[in-house]
Amino acid sequence: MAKLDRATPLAGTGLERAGLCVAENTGLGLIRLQAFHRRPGAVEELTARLGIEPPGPGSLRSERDRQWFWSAPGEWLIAIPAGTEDAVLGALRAQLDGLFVVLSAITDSQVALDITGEAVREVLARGSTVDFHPASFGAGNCVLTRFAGVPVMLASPGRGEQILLFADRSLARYLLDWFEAASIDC
Amino acid sequence: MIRIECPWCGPRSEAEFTCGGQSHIVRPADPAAVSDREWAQYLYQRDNPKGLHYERWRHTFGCRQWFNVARDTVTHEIRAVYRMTDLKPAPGGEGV
Ligand SMILES: [Zn+2]
Repeated sequence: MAKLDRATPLAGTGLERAGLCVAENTGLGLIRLQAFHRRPGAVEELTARLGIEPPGPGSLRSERDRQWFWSAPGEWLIAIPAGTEDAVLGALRAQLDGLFVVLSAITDSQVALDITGEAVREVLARGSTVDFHPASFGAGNCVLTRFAGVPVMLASPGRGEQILLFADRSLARYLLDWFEAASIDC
Repeated sequence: MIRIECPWCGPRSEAEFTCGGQSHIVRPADPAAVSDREWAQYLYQRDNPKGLHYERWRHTFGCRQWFNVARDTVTHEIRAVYRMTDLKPAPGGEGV
């Protein structure tokens, strides 16, 4: 298992420039929750069982050591401390028992990147047509978009100018190369 | 490049979407009862209007949902965006 644990998508490599840093975030475990959103009352039922309202389109919500990201109608990505997937899955399954939902651990299929630096918004704007000005993409926002030609989720959890990027694991090296090329003047 | 308003994510550029062709095509309820001509009509024949066209789009790079768009094929103006479960807005009606 120790051998597997070390096999992170970028094996510790990243990018460090004066205005932009990209680093792999290996501290997150990821769970996907899918509910049948077209059934009337489905989201209300979830809210009642969970005791919190999951975030709506374009937003994220932090709750204890969990971060909820809206990813589609009736679907959320839940980021938790790495290694706690089984415990959180068990707890959520117990809480949502009997509801028409699917819970899956997807940590190993994804890469999470921390993107920081004063040029972060300028570089993000080179990869997508979404408006990354703080007025429209600020703390608590998350978007799913076409970024550098591939599907990614970008979130602004609110820790200064830190942006969190989620993508399929196989895109990790490509995205790092893209950031390197797109930030050559940063 | 056109801008399309995803019913969930808001306005995004066309490059995030996939066009799924004409919408509101209904599969014959009893395929065995229709003629070959009618079946071919259902499978292959599509409208090709100069002007208002009802079509399906999918926000492939975003929330991955299908929805309907009423678009002018001459000006590319989007006259209405509505969910798969909504009724087709009439031409000249509200928003179209
Ligand atoms: Zn969308």
